[in-house]
Amino acid sequence: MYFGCAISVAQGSIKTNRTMAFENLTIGRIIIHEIFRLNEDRTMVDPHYGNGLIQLDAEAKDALQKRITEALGSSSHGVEMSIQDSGAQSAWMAARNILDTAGNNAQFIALSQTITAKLAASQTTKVVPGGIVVVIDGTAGHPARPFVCAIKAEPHPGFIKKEENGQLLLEYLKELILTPEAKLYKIGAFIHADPAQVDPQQPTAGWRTFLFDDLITKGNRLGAAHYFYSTFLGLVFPSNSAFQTKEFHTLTKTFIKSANIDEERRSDLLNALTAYLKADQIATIQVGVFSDTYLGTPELKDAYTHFMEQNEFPVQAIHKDLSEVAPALKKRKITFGHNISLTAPPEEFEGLVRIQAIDGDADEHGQVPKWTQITIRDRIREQE
Amino acid sequence: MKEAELLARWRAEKPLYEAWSDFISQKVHEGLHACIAPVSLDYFIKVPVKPRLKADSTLVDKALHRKKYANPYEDLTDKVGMRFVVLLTTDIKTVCEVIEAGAGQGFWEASKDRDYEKERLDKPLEFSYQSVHYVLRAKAGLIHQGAQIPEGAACEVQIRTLLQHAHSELTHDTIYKPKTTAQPEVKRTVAKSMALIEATDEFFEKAIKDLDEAARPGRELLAFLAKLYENGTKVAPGQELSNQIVIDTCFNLAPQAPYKEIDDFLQAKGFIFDKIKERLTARHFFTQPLVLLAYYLAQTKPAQVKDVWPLDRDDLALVFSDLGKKFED
Repeated sequence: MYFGCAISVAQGSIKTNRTMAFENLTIGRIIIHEIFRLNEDRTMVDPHYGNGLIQLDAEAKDALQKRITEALGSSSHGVEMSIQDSGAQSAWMAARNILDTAGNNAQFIALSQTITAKLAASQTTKVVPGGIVVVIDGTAGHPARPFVCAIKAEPHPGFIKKEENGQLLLEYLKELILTPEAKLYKIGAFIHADPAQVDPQQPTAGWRTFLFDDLITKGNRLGAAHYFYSTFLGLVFPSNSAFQTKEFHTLTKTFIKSANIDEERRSDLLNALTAYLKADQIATIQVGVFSDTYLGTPELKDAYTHFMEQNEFPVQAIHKDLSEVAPALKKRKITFGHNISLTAPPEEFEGLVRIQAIDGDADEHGQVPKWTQITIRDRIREQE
Repeated sequence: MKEAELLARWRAEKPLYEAWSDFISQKVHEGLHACIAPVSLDYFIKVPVKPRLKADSTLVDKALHRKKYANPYEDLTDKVGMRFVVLLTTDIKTVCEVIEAGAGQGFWEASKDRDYEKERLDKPLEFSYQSVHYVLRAKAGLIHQGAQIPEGAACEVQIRTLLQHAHSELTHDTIYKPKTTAQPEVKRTVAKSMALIEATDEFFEKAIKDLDEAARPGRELLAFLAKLYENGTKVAPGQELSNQIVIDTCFNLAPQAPYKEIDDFLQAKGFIFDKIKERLTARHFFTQPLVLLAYYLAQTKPAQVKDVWPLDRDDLALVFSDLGKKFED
């Protein structure tokens, strides 16, 4: 009931959206290794390699699955990236080769060590901490497609509760990893989403890749994230980021314009959209974040998410690039009947303009029309 | 018949009557169990059924002194008896049906000795003891617990509501069996209670019927989910209360009958049944059919289902994760 505009291309209530990359995630083999911060003289400490696969019980596997979907699933801060480095030494090549190691754990372990060594070599400044590297293979999507991911988890201290002889005790653990604290892990994932696509000119055809790194959602920390997504994983932000940002703006505006909400609320949401896109401190745009921050009711949130999915807007985050949307953000315009309109710079609109729907004077049939009361917190400067 | 003769026969046949009453109790319980599922017998029967043999002295007192029977031993129909106490008058009918069915199966002859509904019509101005009494007489050839049940052995089965039972408990041995007659005011008070009980039983009946009607759409949705669950997992769906709690809170988010959207969704996402099967042993939540509604709502109305979810959030988080969705805010 919240939308009914023509952009919706729904064929049925549910369709298998190509963006649902992380549904039906099944974790296969798991191995961990350890890497370290650079020495004082900036020389590298050799990684400590694990030699055997990790066996987890069902509950632990579920928890690991949740870490991945929380980071990369729909509504997450994960970003779909493009593969730039597909050379023989690339992370992608190691992931690709892991697909051929089904049933050969020794090869899987060796390739996971290659991946770990590459991450260790990518950490070229002393500010970058060490951590545990978890390499996982498995399948994702429906139908299930091969999937490989590398997680860098930074250990952090914490406590666990223990009980001895009926006494409750606290035990201090110096090195917890993979707790739900998202700032402390990064993930790069490769999915062979479309094995039918084969292109000798472009070996990565049919592959999708996703990145989660708390640093890339923050604009001012993008440089700090570079070693992981670029040097290590060989990824770049997709070239269509500017187009996607514009698409986000267009679709969200369409949704707000047709939503079943009162005009004041509509005005507030249009202001919020501009503010969200222009906010300096964030480097990604995400449907879920806009929804959770501004839309308020669960019904409106679901209607919006559904609308964006129907229009095939990415369910993960996208890299913010304002170059194409900038003109649209320059002017806020409200149009009335009889050729009357009001325009204002968006950054002034929220603070200085207030619009309210009010009851007008009844006509001869007793019908009360809706009028609009506009308050501009300024005097008239000029009239034409 | 002499007292000594009567007692000797009774003492000799007690084990047979004990077996006979146990046989009846067992058969009626079995019949009810099948009739009332998924409601449990413990819930349906409000006072545990305990077959009782008449005490020797009571037997002599009633058979030879209080009553004038032609055949004191055979005519005394309550040498052994048992009582079914239930909540509603419709529940009484259910027990009656099971007893009549037992007659149909050739276990016994059943005759209604007292029928409060008939008594109400016969004596419309009177409010007194109300209960259904059956006398069951054994058919030939019954063997139970190694005992050969004598053909024609009688057993009295009483069936009443909790409120009728309360009235009977109050009046037992005080109004009808005292040496001196109770005062008219006391009788009047007890009659008023019975009138109130009869009215209350009717209100109970109406309340349950109205509740049942209101719960019908939810029940139909649950039945639909249970069937899908069984077809998809080949495992019998759980019937715990959590299903009802989720249906109650999420009903407005679910599609209308015939729920085609849910069916289509599960067809499109066949892997959901595999995920459920993987978790059956470790997580109770996945043994209940409500899990299918959780998946459907997580896909179609994620913010709303998170908002109203009445059960453990960890399980719902896993449902989101299986669909590749972030759960935490």
